[in-house]
Amino acid sequence: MSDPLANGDFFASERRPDRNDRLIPMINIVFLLLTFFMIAGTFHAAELLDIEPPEASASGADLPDEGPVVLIARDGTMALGDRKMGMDEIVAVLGGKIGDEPVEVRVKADRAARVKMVLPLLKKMADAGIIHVQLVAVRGK
Amino acid sequence: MRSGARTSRPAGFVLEGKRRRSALSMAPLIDFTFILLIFFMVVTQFDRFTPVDVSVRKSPGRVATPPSAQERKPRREILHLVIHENGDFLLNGERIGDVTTFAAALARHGPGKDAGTQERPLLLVEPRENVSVQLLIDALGALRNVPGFAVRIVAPGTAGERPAAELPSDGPEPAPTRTPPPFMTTPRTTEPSGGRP
Repeated sequence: MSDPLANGDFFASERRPDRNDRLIPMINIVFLLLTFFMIAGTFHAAELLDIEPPEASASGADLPDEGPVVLIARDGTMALGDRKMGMDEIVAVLGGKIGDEPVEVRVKADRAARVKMVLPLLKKMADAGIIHVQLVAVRGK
Repeated sequence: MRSGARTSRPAGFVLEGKRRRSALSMAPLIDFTFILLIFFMVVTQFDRFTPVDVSVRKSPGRVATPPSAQERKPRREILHLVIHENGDFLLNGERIGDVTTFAAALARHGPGKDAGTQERPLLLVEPRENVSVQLLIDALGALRNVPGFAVRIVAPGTAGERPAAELPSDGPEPAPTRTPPPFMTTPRTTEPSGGRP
């Protein structure tokens, strides 16, 4: 009787190959991909406007999650949260939130949006007392 | 006799010589895993967002007061940086470079890191109307590396008014000056500072 360890067919006598055996490497890869996407990625809520934020330096801090978000699309369309609004309405709504706690507003503008759409909003917010403002950018590579 | 011994075994545990192979198919597992994979591939984002702080220092409602004698003493330098749509940066009307080179030229006008408590020059950044947000962010990122300036961003055409945004800095808040900068076309009686009436 030959040694099964010596000729490499130790399991050959135990079980017959079936068609699932050929799928196991693929399942391994798929599970690895699945684990990678689950760990490395982040989830964000879908936004009303399609916005591609500008890129900033790689040394920035993480963006805090809390606080209202003003969206400014490439064409100048503005939204506060999940509602499209005009500039004055946004300032009015945000101004109504000013209380004891300072309101920290994040402005997420498209990288191709023009300054004439963004800075007047910031100025109006500053005039209304909303002075804590952050522009949202994507951390550079 | 043999059949009697077989019935004495627990149900579902039948072994006859070789191990019986599972009849379970891998196909549903693969289907489900693929669905999960596609879901995560579609909804996952790898962008990490970072804030660019442009908070204005002073809150409105502060009552304007006449400058004290101490405030009146130092004559503060005010620089006007204009960002053009074509990427040119103009300091007090003179071109000093583009987004990659203007910071070095600007640093020559600043007090530098060794300024200490010396009053920092005020840098008014005025992007033109059609400057993109990306160019503004790039400029602000470069300005962070230029020490010694109090940076205020003003909306296009509002250089003489309150700033729309400011860049945070660690130095002391400079005292206001009452002299309009020479490059301003419209004479003013007050500085375009963050001081709110």
